[in-house]
Amino acid sequence: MNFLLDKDAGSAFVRTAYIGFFAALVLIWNEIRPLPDAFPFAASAFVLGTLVIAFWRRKRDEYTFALWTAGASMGFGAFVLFYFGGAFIEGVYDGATGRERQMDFEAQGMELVAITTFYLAIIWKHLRGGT
Amino acid sequence: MNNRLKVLRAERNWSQAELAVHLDVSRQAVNAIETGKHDPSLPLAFRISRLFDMPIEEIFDDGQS
Repeated sequence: MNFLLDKDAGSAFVRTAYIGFFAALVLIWNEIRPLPDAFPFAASAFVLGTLVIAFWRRKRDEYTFALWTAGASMGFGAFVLFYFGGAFIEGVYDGATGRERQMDFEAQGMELVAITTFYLAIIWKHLRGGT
Repeated sequence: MNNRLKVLRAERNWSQAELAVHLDVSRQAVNAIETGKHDPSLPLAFRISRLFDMPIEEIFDDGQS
């Protein structure tokens, strides 16, 4: 095990979260305005890779575990909110815009919202100390 | 929670990285504790207490006393 890397576990975990967050943003942007195939492909790889690394390294340090816990709880909260509140959000959006011809908030976007919230909560806790 | 960790570390001329090695945590954890962004677990609080040879309540202040 790399000693220096292990003692730098907190920084490495936060860097992972930033990379995952921006990769998730690329995927969200791709849902709004489709990008060339290489972008969502690379972003998906980064999201998956950072999720695996974050999960793998979450217990390296009690601080990284606190960051993980904050991200996981907020991600789960976003998932539940979107799962049960998605139809409500769709209705409000349709009512506000006066358009009902399509689903603006697809169910497939749920996991992306949860993952983005997960990373956002980690970054928020790192910067502000709470979620 | 307020704490005197930064002062105690400075008295010993330790960097955050050196303190992290003593406590077996990451430098980021030390920084988060010092800046009040993270409250240490009870085992870590005891390690800090033993390292500086001071009672926990002299290092950490929960604002209740």
